[in-house]
Amino acid sequence: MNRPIRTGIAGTLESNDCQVTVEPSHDDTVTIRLESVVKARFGHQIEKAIRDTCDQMQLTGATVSVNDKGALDFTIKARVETAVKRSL
Amino acid sequence: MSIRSALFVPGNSAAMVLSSPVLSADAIILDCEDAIAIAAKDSASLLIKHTLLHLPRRQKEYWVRINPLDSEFFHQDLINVLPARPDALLIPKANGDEWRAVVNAIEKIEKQFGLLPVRLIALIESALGVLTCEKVARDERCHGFLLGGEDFASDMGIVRREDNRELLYARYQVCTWAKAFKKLCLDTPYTDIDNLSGFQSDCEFSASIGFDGKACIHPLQADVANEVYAVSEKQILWAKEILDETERQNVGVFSYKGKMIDRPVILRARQIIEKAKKWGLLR
Repeated sequence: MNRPIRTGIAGTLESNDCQVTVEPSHDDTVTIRLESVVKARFGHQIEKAIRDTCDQMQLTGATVSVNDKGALDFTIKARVETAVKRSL
Repeated sequence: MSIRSALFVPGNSAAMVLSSPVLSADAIILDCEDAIAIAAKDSASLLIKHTLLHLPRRQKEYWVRINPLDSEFFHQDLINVLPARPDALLIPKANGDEWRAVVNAIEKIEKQFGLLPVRLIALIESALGVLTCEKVARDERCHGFLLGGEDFASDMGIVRREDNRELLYARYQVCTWAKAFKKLCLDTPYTDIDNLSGFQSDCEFSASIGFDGKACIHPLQADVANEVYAVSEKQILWAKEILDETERQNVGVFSYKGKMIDRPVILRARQIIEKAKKWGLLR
């Protein structure tokens, strides 16, 4: 399992992108906090992309905050992967 | 593969990467190198990886310019990008002395991930690169060349001119070696993005000496390059006439409209028709 030891940030707040922050937490869960301009319509899909990426990377003990500005799935996955790697 | 225009897109810009499928360039070069700040190198190669895995790629090619062999990011780029199957890798600072080392590193990762060999385009952008491109051209893993005028000028310690006269030797050298070994050959970017007529003249000259296409740094340049490096209606008409007459005469050499027509001319006419077919220009 991969547990963050520092804060990792990736992405931008530009249109079509998202900013992802991965921080260590005090338990073994992964908590996702999503803020998105399209949350009402696509919130579940975005959260699934985030969760799937965290699972693939075997992330544990982390809070993953995503500020989405209309990013597509592949951008979200790329930014989450980068932020997780930077937090390890 | 025949490419008239290859457009550089910064590999870390989500918006630009996202819009790339609708641009007119024949190839998109997702950049990990010069367009990317050191702090964003990891982020760029990962965005490129996920882009390649998800974007539809049928209408155009997606290449990746990785960081050079002597950079700390070279290996990371290969690990992130190669398994996502780009159509080609653009190898910066390529030269005959180091080419095999680059290929060996790539082949090691291809073997590790069980990948088919990716096409490699050598970016010739130094004096050494120009003088040793024969060695690269002779290597079977080299699929083509792209001349990088800005870095070449820096390496030579010379100032760029509007007419690119300082690149003449490099252009002829790279293009001739490419043609000698049937490789793709793309010309250097034209950096004055507001000067489209200057860009067009530059394309016309490079097309006249044998370049297949042009590296572009703005989407509007791709439209111009696609037109210049394709074949003109006049050329198609001429080629059709020559081939019709060749069939009619059925001899090795003949005179047509006061000019001698022999094998090289007939071959050139066939090449024009082939290009026209490829770009959908035959009616």
